[in-house]
Amino acid sequence: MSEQIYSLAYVSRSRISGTSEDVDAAITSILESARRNNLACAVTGALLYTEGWFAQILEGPLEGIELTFELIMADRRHANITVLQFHPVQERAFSVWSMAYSGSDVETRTRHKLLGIESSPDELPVLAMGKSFVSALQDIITRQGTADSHP
Amino acid sequence: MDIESSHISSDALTGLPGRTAFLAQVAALLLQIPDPGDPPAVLSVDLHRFKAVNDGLGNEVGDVVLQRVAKRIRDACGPQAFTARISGDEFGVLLPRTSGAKELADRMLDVLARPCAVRGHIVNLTASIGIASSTEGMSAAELVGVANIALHHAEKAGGNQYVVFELPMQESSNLRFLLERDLRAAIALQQKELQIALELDQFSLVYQPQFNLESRRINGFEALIRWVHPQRGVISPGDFIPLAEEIGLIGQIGTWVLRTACCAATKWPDDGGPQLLLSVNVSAQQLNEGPAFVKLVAQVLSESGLAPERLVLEITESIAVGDVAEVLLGIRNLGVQLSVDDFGMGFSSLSHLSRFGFDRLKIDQSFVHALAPAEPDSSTGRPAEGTALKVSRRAQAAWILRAITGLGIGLGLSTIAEGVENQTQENVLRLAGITEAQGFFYCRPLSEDEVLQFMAMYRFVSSDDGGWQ
Repeated sequence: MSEQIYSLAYVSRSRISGTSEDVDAAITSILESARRNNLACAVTGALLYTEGWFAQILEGPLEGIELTFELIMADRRHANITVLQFHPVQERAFSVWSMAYSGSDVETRTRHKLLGIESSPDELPVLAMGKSFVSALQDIITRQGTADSHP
Repeated sequence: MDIESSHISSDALTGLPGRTAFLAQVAALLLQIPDPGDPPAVLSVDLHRFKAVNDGLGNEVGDVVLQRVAKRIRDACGPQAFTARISGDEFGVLLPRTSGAKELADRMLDVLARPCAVRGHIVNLTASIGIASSTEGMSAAELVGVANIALHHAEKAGGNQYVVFELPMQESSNLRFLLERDLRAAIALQQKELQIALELDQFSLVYQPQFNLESRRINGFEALIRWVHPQRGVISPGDFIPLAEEIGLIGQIGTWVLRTACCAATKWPDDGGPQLLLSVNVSAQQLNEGPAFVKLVAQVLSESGLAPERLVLEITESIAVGDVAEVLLGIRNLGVQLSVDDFGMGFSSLSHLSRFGFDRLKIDQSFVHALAPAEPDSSTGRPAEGTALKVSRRAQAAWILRAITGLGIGLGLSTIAEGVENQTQENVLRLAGITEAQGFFYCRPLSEDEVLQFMAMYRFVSSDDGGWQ
């Protein structure tokens, strides 16, 4: 497979309201459709949900990523989308997951990084931390080992 | 790739009906209003900064962005609405009933402000929307016209919002009422004025010296255009260059600038030392001419007799990331130097800079301004407002400067700061390792004759101590 793999990471604010069961149900449905779509266009990645924030990494061929991202942009269950990175990568970081998920027990440092974005969306540091965020998420998913389990 | 492009109903790019079809649809609906208690409404949607996308990333990316935008609008509107592409980056939405129009406008503003991933780039746009309800006896053109007036108000208020049309707006902007015709007339008039300006020699060039901060010697001059308008006086490039770009006159003006400046530079003194460089700004549209532009540069060089290595073409950072690699390579092959203009304001990436083989980075003057201590407010004797904020901005600007210098050293580029106004700024620039500077602190821009006087004087005073001051 010689096609160039790209990686796109963003964070967004959740608009899902209701009880934690409602939130779980919404996320289950997001994950199901994501996994279905991503298989079809060779996109892999990871989704993180914590305290009302989504963070997602998509990786795959350029066209697959761009179409998937456009579908995600049409979803009104979230808002305030900030793209952290979008560039070619050597290899996939989440190659075995059509969409890995991490929703609970996320380490405080990651949470703080996410909250930092809310206070200063336009600041340089957000871009600067893009990379460290991706590796943090990769750590969590890999260590968790339960990545494909539902919330 | 996109499903949209298979519908060639009217607009082949977005698949949306065009302006004529939109007006016809509005007219038809006004003849048969479904619910007079809740009359039809028109929403005018206009994108911000779309031109920058086309200029910076190329029309191909711009086209895909427009397709995405069209689809987002159509999806947000649903089947009840009639959506159309009115012009380049302007869309129209017709609703059979006004109720729900504001909610729809909010939905559209939300989805249009979301990032687009296109050909490896992230594009962030926003939109403005004008909403107008039809009233008794209003024609289709009038309804669209008043929606446009509301749109204009939304844009003037800063954009990324909607404004509902109210009668006082119309009274306050009666000229705007005959919107399109007026606008076209205005452009035609200005086009004529610009054309006349070219013919009547109303343009002139001034040259601002650029100094080397290490050797304290003059490196060269940047050519800057001025328009001396018979009624309005001196008009700065910031005011007429965007217009010239919009109406396609920038090519002619740019050619005139290049030719005039190269001729002037051949008259600059040659004292056997390093030859004085001439910096000339180049616009996106000039680069988009492709090989023709490279040919023009070669022709001007041979006509004027200016050595290619003395010419530096300054290219705005946002253009430098677009699809202009071949033109830039062609220019470099002539032996001409390339400089990135306004560095720090656009979206260059390191890979682009090294790939295009730039020689110099020009740091945007906003960074330089941020370096100077805030002038105390003389009327109150107190420090100017927001001192804390300015301090942090200053620290940030200094930090960015150091990063840019590091980048310059790493890529083997020289770095120049523009808009230097005081000693404090120069000190910080020098500490950060910036190699060159220009600005009022050193010298104002000079006329062609003044340059010759200045150089004679400069050589006299700097002949034994090796620099100014």
